[in-house]
Amino acid sequence: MKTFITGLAIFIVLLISALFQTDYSRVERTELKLKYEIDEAAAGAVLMFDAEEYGDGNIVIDDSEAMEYVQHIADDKYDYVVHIFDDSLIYRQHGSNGDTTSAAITFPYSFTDGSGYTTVIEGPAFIIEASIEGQFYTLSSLKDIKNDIRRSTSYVVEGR
Amino acid sequence: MKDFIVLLAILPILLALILNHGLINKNSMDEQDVREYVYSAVQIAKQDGYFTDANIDALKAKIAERMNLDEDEIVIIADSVPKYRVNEFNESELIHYRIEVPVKKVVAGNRLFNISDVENQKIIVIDNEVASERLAP
Repeated sequence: MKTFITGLAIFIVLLISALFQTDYSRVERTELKLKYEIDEAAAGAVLMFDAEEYGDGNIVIDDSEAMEYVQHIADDKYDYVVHIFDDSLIYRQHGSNGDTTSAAITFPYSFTDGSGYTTVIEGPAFIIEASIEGQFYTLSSLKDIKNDIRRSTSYVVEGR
Repeated sequence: MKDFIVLLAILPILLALILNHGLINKNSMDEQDVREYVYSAVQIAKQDGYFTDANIDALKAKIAERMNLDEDEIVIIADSVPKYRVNEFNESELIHYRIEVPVKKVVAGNRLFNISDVENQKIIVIDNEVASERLAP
């Protein structure tokens, strides 16, 4: 009986550990997938700039075209907030829920993202913060705590 | 003797669970590497405007070597007509790609859990679009 109870205890510990590992590796893969997706979304969206302004040596992103591209790539798979900095010196923020805000800025500009990370923006940049919410863990102790995945990416234009 | 019999009954399940730890890690790392290879190939495709045959062959060879598969088992469906950078959102100028890579073993000791070899497989699917950076002629 003692052996059986010990065996059962080891079995339960191994089962919990395998469950956690399966969930954790899935979260890790989802994070990586999200990273690649928003990297591509930012790199592609930054190409949608105003050609006339570019002719004058300025990079001014066309918000509606850029947001259409980001929306197309995101395809409602995750929520996102886009921060646009360019030579118009007006910072714009667009959310996947349709919220938009703008403010006048000057470079260098100290930007703090939703997770509290601060970076100094010195030129045109396209920043995407993305998050996915859901129950990623089977274990009840983690189910309600670790229920969101966040990644952010910044595409900075360094050359003209 | 009784203990030995109990041990014999429990040991295969315990061993299978221990083996699964390794397999979960292996499959996860394999998938991460496949995504990294695809990401690199997509960067080349963005410059070329499409997936060239050389790019597709190199990607297949890399994935096949990493995943220990035949190249024929990897499916790559990608645009083979050049797309151009248009500085506006135009769906027809996006490069579309779909890559399917089979994973042949998902659970270790599958027969112990009554899972057949056919059911014990999955396919990694990467299906996406990306803006071309190739300048129009």
